[in-house]
This record gives sequence, C-alpha cells and structure tokens, in this order.
Amino acid sequence: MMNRDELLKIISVLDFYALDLQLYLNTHPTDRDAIQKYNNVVKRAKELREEYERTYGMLTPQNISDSPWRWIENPWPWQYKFNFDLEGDECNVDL
Amino acid sequence: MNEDMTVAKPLATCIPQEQSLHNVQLAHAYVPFQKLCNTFRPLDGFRKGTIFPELYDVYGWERKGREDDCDDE
Repeated sequence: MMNRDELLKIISVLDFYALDLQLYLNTHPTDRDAIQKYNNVVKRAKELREEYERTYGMLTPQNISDSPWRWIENPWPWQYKFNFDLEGDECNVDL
Repeated sequence: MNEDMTVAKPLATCIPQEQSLHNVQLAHAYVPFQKLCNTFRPLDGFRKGTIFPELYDVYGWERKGREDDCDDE
C-alpha cells in the first residue's frame, strides 16, 4: 500500500502524462497509438485516484461523499507539507 | 504488464523529414508535423516538462546546465 505522498506523486505524474497526450491528440485525433497510450494512463490514474480518496479523502469535491463531508479537511495543495519532492525513481512507471 | 512495450525508436527517426517543399512562400513558417514516436517514462516527463523526447531540450538547456546563463552565447 503506497503512502499518501507516493500516491499523490504518481497521480500527479500520470495526470501530467495524460495532459501532454491530450495536447497531442488535439492535433492528431486519429492517432490510434496515442489514444491507446492515453487510455492506459487515464485508467491507471483513475484507479490510483480512487485508492487515494478511499484512504485520504477527496482530491476533488466532485465525488460521492460519505459522512462527514471531508472536503473541508486539511491539508491543502498550497500547504508546503502537502507537497512531495521529485527525488527517487520509485514512481517512474512503464505504461 | 505494459501492453505497448515497444522498443524505443532512434530519436533521429522521430522527426519526419520533409522531402521537398514546393512554391515556398516568404514570411511563412514551415514546421514538420509531429508523429508520435517515443515518450519519456511518466516521472521523467514530469521532471522535464514534456513526455515527448523530440520536443525536449530544444533550446539545449541541459547542455548549458540548469541556470539561465545567457552570457556564454
């Protein structure tokens, strides 16, 4: 089971990868390889986001909520201790 | 398992070379159209700011070191 920082780091890394592919797909909508890569990474990121939110609460408030409503809880992205550093290679996944 | 564990293609083959340009116009830009080739592994892409090797280091920052040292131009 990954800890919060590792999960958050890999979710951010996968989201970035997906975003760059979105930009590519905007100009190459028929590139099947790119769509395949995009679907792979989005699927992985979704799984990890669900794992994160089950354990650490919402990353975005657009999800079904238990009680209590945890969106108001700390930490927040702008709080330094909530951020991770990019050392190490453990989150470098092959897609 | 990574379904598309394709072998990385040599970078030189990643940028489609235009065979010849016809009736080239003044004041027009001609940019080769990107074709998906290799991608960096996600964490490397995140650090480098792009997942596309052919778009990375276009300005040679890596060779000149990280700081913004313009004086040696």
